[in-house]
Amino acid sequence: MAGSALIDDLAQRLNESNDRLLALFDLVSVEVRSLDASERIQRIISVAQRLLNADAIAVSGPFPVSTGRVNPDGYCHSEFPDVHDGPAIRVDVGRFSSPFLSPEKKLIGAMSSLISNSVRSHQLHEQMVAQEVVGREHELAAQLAQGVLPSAGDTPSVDGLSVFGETRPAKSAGGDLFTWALVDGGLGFAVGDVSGKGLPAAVLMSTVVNAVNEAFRNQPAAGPETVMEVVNRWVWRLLSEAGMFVTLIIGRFDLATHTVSLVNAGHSPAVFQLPPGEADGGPARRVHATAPPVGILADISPNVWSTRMDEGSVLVVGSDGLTEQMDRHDVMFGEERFDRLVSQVSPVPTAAELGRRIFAAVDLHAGATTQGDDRTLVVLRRGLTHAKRS
Amino acid sequence: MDITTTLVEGRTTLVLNGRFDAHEGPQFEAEFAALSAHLTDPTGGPEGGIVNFDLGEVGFIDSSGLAQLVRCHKALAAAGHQMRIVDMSSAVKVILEMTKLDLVFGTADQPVP
Repeated sequence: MAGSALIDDLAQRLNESNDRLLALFDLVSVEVRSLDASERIQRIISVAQRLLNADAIAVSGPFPVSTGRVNPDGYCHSEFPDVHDGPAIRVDVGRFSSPFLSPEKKLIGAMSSLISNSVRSHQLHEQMVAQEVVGREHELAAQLAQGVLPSAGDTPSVDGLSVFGETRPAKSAGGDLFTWALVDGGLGFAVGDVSGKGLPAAVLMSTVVNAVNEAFRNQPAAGPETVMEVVNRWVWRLLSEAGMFVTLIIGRFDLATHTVSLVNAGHSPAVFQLPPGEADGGPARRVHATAPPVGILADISPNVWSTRMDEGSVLVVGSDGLTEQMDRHDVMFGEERFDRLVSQVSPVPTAAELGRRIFAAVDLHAGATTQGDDRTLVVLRRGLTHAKRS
Repeated sequence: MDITTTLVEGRTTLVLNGRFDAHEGPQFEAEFAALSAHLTDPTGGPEGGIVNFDLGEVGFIDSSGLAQLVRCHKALAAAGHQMRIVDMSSAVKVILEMTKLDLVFGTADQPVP
């Protein structure tokens, strides 16, 4: 080859090489240019056609795209089964001038991988969008379910009795519940915890609250054991074989006798504190469960616990999210600490302030540790005096 | 959590080892479904209609774990079988006693009548 011809040939090869480098740059840049899968694949095969001098490229699968004359003779093809149980992606590349060399076959493989990844990322994006929509719908449904709980300004007014109730869900779709209602001659109240998490727990929670409220309304003179029986039958029929259950305390404060009575079905113990007097009130007493949670057995017969609430007496009914809250050393708040806390804060004259102090103590214990479970608290305090121990 | 099912001299026992919480739900459900398939086999039912649960090595159980046990209890009862907890760790014992679920599940000491 003459010198000038050699230089021309080298120049031409250099230009081709530069063109190929630019084409390769185009190829790897396609991913970030567009989010539309079909457009991305179209660009990839267009650049690949230039790089390979291919006569035709065809992509089959979720986004079929082709370019050039389609003729299967002598084609090289790659097939990529979709890792997400979708249809396989097949890429066919054809060239009639010469067979593909080994480096070109590698380029075809790389191009096929790029197309497969584009399809996969598109599918993932679609899934994420769908999950986000479902998640928001669940969130909304859970918020609606929470709407059955008494609101902050919905505290019943009972002569000589200070009342507080609040629930703080760990996730917005919580399973803790509380409710109350004025009944014949007093106040009916309930605190419970539905097994499980998420939307199913929130939906069941709202159902139980409605069942309790309905029982308070239909049988306003009934004792807590009767209300529990009614609610258990309702929930048991509803849950059937689902295996969910609800731990529940139902109580009643009688205005005439200043007596509080309650039944505990599988719930963490209620805590009762006598007023601080000469005997200093003594340690807090626990009112343990005497029956399994509602929804498991067709009939349950919890024992009725009852006591007179003299002025300054405090009844605290909480959920296990309070006593089981961990600190940063993985130490639980615990029942003993909870009992001592109730004893310490019981002289606080209002149930609302008492409740706030209990929540604050658990918050302090948790520190930066994530709230592990829903926290619910109902406090009844008789009278407005007694501050000797504060 | 490790789950194994043993069949010794006609006695079916589900042995659990580890934490029993919401994360273990799918694995437990799969194991119990396999066990249930065996129970429905007329040639392979458990001796005396009792399925044993060994919870002696369960260091932690939460309400999700309890709900799984309740599901087992209901499913076994519906199939004409009975659930019995033959061993339990102190952590499980405390929770079962506190919730009174010990009255629901039969135990080795106190079978359900």
